[in-house]
Amino acid sequence: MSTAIPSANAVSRSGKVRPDSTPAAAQKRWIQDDAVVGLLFLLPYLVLWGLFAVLPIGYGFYISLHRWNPIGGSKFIGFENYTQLFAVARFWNALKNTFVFAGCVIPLILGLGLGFALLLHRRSLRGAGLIEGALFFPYLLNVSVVSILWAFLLDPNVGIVPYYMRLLGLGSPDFLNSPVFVLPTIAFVTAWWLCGYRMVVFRAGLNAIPQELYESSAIDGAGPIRQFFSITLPLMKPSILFAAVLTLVGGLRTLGQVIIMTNGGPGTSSEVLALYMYRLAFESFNFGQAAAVGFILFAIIFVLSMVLVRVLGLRSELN
Amino acid sequence: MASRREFLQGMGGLGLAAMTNVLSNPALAAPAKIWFNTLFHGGDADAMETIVKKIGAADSNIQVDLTQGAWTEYYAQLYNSVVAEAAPQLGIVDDFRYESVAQVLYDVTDTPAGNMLDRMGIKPGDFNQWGISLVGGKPLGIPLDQNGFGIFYNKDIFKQAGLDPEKFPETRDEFENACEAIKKIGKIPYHPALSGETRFIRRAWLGLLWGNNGKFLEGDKPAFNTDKGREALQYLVDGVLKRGWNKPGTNGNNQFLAGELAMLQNGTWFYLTVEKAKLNYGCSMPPKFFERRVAWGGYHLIVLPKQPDSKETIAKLETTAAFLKAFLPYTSLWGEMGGAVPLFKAGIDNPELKQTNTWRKTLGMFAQAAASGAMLAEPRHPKITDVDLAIEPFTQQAYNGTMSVKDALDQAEKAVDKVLSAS
Amino acid sequence: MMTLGVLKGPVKYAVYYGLAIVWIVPVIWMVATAVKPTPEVMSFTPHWLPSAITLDHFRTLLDKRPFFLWLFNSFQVAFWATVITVVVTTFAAYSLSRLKWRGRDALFLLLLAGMFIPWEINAIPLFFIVKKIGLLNTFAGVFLPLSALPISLFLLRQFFINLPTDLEDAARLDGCGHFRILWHVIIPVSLPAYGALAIFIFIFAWNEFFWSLVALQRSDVRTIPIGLKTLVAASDIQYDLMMAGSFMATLPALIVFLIFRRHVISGISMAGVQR
Repeated sequence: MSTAIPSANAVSRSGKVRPDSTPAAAQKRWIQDDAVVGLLFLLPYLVLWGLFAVLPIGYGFYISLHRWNPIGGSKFIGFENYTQLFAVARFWNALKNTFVFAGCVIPLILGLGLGFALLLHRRSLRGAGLIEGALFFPYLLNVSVVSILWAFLLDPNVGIVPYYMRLLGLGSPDFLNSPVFVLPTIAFVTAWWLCGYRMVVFRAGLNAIPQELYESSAIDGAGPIRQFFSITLPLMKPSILFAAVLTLVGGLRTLGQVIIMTNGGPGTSSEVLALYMYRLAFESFNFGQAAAVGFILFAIIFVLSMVLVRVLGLRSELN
Repeated sequence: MASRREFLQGMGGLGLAAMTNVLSNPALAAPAKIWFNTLFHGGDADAMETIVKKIGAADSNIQVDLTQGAWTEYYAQLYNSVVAEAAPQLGIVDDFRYESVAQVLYDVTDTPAGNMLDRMGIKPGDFNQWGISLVGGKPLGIPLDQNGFGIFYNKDIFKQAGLDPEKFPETRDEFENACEAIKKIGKIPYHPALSGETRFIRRAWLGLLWGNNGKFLEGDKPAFNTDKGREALQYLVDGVLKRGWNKPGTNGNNQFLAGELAMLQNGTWFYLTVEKAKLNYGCSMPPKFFERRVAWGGYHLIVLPKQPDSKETIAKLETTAAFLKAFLPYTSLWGEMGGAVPLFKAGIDNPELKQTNTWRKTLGMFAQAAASGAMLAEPRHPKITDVDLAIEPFTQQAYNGTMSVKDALDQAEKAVDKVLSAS
Repeated sequence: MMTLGVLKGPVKYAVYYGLAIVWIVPVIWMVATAVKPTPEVMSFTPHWLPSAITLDHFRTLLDKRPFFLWLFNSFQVAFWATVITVVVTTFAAYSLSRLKWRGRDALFLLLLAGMFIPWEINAIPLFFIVKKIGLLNTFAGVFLPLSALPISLFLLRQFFINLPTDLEDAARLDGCGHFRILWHVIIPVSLPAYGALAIFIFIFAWNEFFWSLVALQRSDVRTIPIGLKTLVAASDIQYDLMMAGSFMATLPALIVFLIFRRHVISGISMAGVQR
């Protein structure tokens, strides 16, 4: 925290103390200046953020109240876009798929991230850095690369995953073409891609736990499992929950992997809300209704995450 | 200290300069150039590139910036570019997506540069099937070609299975027997839907529906949920789920190019790909599965997306007219390299075209099918795109076996009703 | 801490290295496929070792698609996103941490809530807004929204807040204005944070998909993620070319990562954890 009163030994470099820079005068100057300068400095960020993140929310809602025709002649239709949406089974299907996907992806990313972090935590292993690097590397890949690669790996004819599963006698389900398996499969691919980031963050969190806690509990006779549940987990809980909320936000707005791997298929079994919105806008050119979907999705994500942050007491994470 | 300030100033200046460069539109160079954006790739794209180069070489006043792109993004790109007032002067559309983008296209007889047909020196009668260019009575494009599905088959596999490689099955029984023979030698008999994507499955079903004398739409109502429709879909689905001709979720193109698949339903555009793969192949119309030998087809049209009001526009449209006029003699080359049936009469009637390898291998067959009405296009309707998109999930699920044929068509009918009744 | 006592010696190494290898197998497969002859790529049985290394796929792909253009476009977007983020966020973070004014901390919390606004979900209205400004199909239309991410603000502001104030106070007594304090005092000390921020934003902007898909629709302004997407379901592109394209797209990241692995990971670590 910055202090308003300079410390006693803060003297100018030349060794003199300037006449008008006595603590009192300095403090007065700061209190006067800071507000104007403060807001001025904040302005570029506020302009960018306001223009690109905040304004679209209101404008999106405005568009959703129209039959929006960008070539000319948009008609105000009130909430008709919304009532039409709620009457269409495809909308509810998209909503369901979105939550199913998020429900699969969150435990996977957090589980793998935490699991890997624990595996690597304070382990004396030659080449631990290389292993961490291997586990982390997928995060640097493009969503398109990840999706194309895994679509290839899971291809029923030429993919190596079904091939080896069949070889092992496990029989291979139609990963990307089965309504039951498609969402968990995309979730797993997403986890493969993103868990590296969580792993690194969790590792930092684990490193922040003082070693003495473990040592003293070991002296008290606690085994590794006890230590995990009574020391690690409670201390990591805030950051795990915070990660869960962020992962939820990311999961609910997923588009890239779905559009490339399955384009919502088979049928509409993997069509998530973001994809439904995209298709309404850019395949059917129904911008008004697409904006309605967008607004609904935004509202869900924002409200849900705010509620969770409050309910789970995560305000401290933000500070 | 001073050097840091200078450094900062220098960086700022550089940054500003670079920024303005970056903020400005990257692509459109000299004002005389026109921009032609197509949805072609593969042989079609190569053909168009060759033609555009030849035209530019013959007349240096006609400079064309040709970009060709992925089909799935194309229509959104077309629409949005008009909205953004930065559209190409020339584009290509499929007939079944045509009406969904109708509002962003010029009437070719009524552009800011006048009547394009007059400038080109042609009249509607110079084309076969001119009617396909009409939307609401107005020609919003110029017919380029008719394309559609046929069955490409691997002659080597036929030989191996004891089948006559020069005689493709003509009846349903012959076809099914051939599939059994192919299964016996451990190869995959048949894939009805190209790479297996959703829209191809729907089109495969449509081919069977029409072969069964069924109807797709009747005016403003779905007409496919009938016995004929169900029979057609059941046959398609049985192929992959009961008869073991293939499996759902597979990519027929990959199978065929790998030499594992005996018969693949694919389009006129597949010619160049299969030639490059150096397979010993043949091409034929599908057998008479039901009442007639037909296949799904479509058309390509050259269109003129709407331009912003400016002087530049008129100059560009004049160049566009010159380009189109210069394009006409190349319509046979279009057929030869792209594999589709040119609709410009002088193009398809060109005797040189009939001497080409393309004609011998595929185009001759397709041209005859087109002339005899065996290549059937989807009905023209302003909402045909949305109808297609509404049906596809259901035919896909029937194909995958996760929905019964009856349920699939019932639900598809409901979805189409909703689409057609929404204003 | 879990001491899995069972895992000692070679077993431990086998498990750990095994895990790492299995995890990275997809990437290895991608590289192998990119240089395999086509028949082996499309074969129904996997060939792990190519019978011959072929660079054909790369050549063909570069022939068919403007791959280097995509790379260059992606680079421009990522570069400018990083530069502008650094500049804009520096001032904003300084204001929120070093300057004192009423409502400062409350506003910071409000801006942080922005972390939970999925800004690409507003792609439709954003599309029309950006069109009005005239930035559609330009890189600025993509890197500007990326330059004001709450997470960048979070990172820098937390870092600034934890800096000791001595040098600053001395500078103030010297009569330094805010710019000079920033330039001479804060920034030099915060280089680790800037490094982390730059790495994070660069990767984030490089991989940005959704908004680029909507805002960069002209084929000459496509970035790598969008360009790669057009390879899928293109009738003339099979898996061999797709893997070649994926490999080329990954190569820059791979090279940087192999050289700077520790820095990248510690940078990401810092970006995600600020206490």
